[in-house]
Amino acid sequence: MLKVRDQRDFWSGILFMAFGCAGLWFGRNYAIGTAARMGPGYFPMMMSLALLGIGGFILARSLVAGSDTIERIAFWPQLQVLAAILAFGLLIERVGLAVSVAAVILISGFSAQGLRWHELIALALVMAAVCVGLFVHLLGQPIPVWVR
Amino acid sequence: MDILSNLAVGFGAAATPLNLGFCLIGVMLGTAIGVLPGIGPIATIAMLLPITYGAPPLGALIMLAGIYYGAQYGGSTTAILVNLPGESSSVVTCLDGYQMARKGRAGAALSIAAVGSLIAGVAGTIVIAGFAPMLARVSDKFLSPEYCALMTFGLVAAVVLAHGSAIKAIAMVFLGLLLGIVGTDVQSGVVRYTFGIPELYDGIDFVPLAIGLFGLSEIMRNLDQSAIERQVRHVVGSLWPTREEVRQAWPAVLRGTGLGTVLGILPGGGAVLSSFASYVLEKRISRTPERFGTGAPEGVAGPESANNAAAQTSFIPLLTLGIPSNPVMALMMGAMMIQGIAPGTAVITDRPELFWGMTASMFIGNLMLIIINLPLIGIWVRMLQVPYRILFPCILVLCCVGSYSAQLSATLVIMLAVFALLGYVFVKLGCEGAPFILGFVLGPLMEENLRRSLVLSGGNPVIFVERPISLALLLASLALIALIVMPRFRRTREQAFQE
Repeated sequence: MLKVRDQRDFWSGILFMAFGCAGLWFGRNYAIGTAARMGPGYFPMMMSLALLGIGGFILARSLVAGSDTIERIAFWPQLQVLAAILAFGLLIERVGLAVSVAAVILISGFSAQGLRWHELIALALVMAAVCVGLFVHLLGQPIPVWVR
Repeated sequence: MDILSNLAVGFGAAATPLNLGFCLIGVMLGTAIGVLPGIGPIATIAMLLPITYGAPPLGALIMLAGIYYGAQYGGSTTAILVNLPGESSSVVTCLDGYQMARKGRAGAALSIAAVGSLIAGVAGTIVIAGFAPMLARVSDKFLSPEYCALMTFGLVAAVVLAHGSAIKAIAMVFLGLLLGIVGTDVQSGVVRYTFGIPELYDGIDFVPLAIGLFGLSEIMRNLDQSAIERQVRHVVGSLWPTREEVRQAWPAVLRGTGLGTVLGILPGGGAVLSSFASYVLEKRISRTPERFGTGAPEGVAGPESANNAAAQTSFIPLLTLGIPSNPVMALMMGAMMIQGIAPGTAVITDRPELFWGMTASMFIGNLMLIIINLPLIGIWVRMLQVPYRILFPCILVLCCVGSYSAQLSATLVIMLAVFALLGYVFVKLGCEGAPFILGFVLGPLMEENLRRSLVLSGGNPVIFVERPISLALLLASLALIALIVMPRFRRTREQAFQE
């Protein structure tokens, strides 16, 4: 039974190989051509093969050498950050800038250590006003402020 | 006297009230964001890119350049005051800068860093003015094979200088090159890897990629660490260095400037390498090397001058050859392309007011930095004290709005989330973002020039070694590779990054 000695290298290897495979698979219909007349598939194929090869090497090496482990991951805060960004993306064209900004603040700051809820709401209101003022009025970007 | 008349054109273009305003805004914003711990110039530029959209091309470039050295200066401030480097080029500044702060000489350390940076910045600007047109003439001889070889050299250098594992850095370069060619293939018109998303037809948008990989991943990394203690415990004290400190610092400023100027021009070089090199040099030639690490002014003056000189001269490859030499320049290149400017020789010949205006503005920006920032140090100190739990939702908002406004498309915000996650995974796995972003920016150029070279030679790769410039560049790349393989150098490299 093989043992993973280096966790970071192990997962890096997997990641690179996954990208290499994806590159080959989704690029399978692009014409490859010859070295003298490269088709649109030539360069991506070379890159994908390189990724597969190097990824494989890193993966193999992680089984025989090294001792790195992945540092602690604070799961919930990270999820909040990603959820906040996604919420902004989903809301911006439906409800406009002001509400979307407030949503980002509320979602990302929710249950943050030492941040009381009234502080959070105040921060959301202030940032919404600042963003509307800065991006829409000062920089003149055509971002919808309110959408009904 | 060509340079003088050209610089006159530049100052004419840069010194209009509007452009002076852009320069001022850039320098201030850059310092403000750069002062935040853990957020270095790359993240700062990525986050502030959207602010520059509304500006005319020259104004946008001036503002961006201002943001860049503002951010660098902000990084040194945090290094000196709280012992937290904003980014790797100010790691060295922590060593002696923080020790000076502990002795109550924080003000003096800040002034030495600022004045050293100014002197270095001015020297760097003069070198750009004198050297860039020369290099631009040389680059007229460059054909596709030379460009290929040059890019190879730049990418190899990026790998050698990346922290941590070199093999992972190589993989990151390839990944960058692969993601760089997403979009419509210019030669065949085939649309590649877009999955039917219209926002990808022109390639992956640079803004969410850069913000996600360099800004948000940093923030997410910080969230994993238990509450960072970053109280400013030391009084800033007098900004005036003592006579003794000046005597120790000024030769170091000059040496650092010289070293940084040269190293900045090299591909893959730039701020990080030169500040390390300068520190090592100062320690080596000092008669009292034991003072280093206990608050030696030379240890602040040398590296700070070197990284600023290098920051300045690393514009040369971008402005003359159109090849970014480090990640910051890759961002600059992205910003220029957003403004509709293709970096390269054509900038100097076709848009001289742009090139010389930007060069002149670097001079003005460095001067502004010192005039404005030293008296404002109190404000930056107070910014450092804003708790992270309040700062980070605000930064997050800036990132979201910035990505959205890049194309006014909600898809870009979703892409931001994807790249934030990817960047975070990279951080956790110890994969460096710098080689990736260089590969990403160079991807389309690399493919195009590789194709053209092989069309020229009928598919025969010998073309790369037949041409002298290309051969020299490839040999230099090989030499660099040999260096990392050699165990002795590998140890030094690991040591250098450990400090």
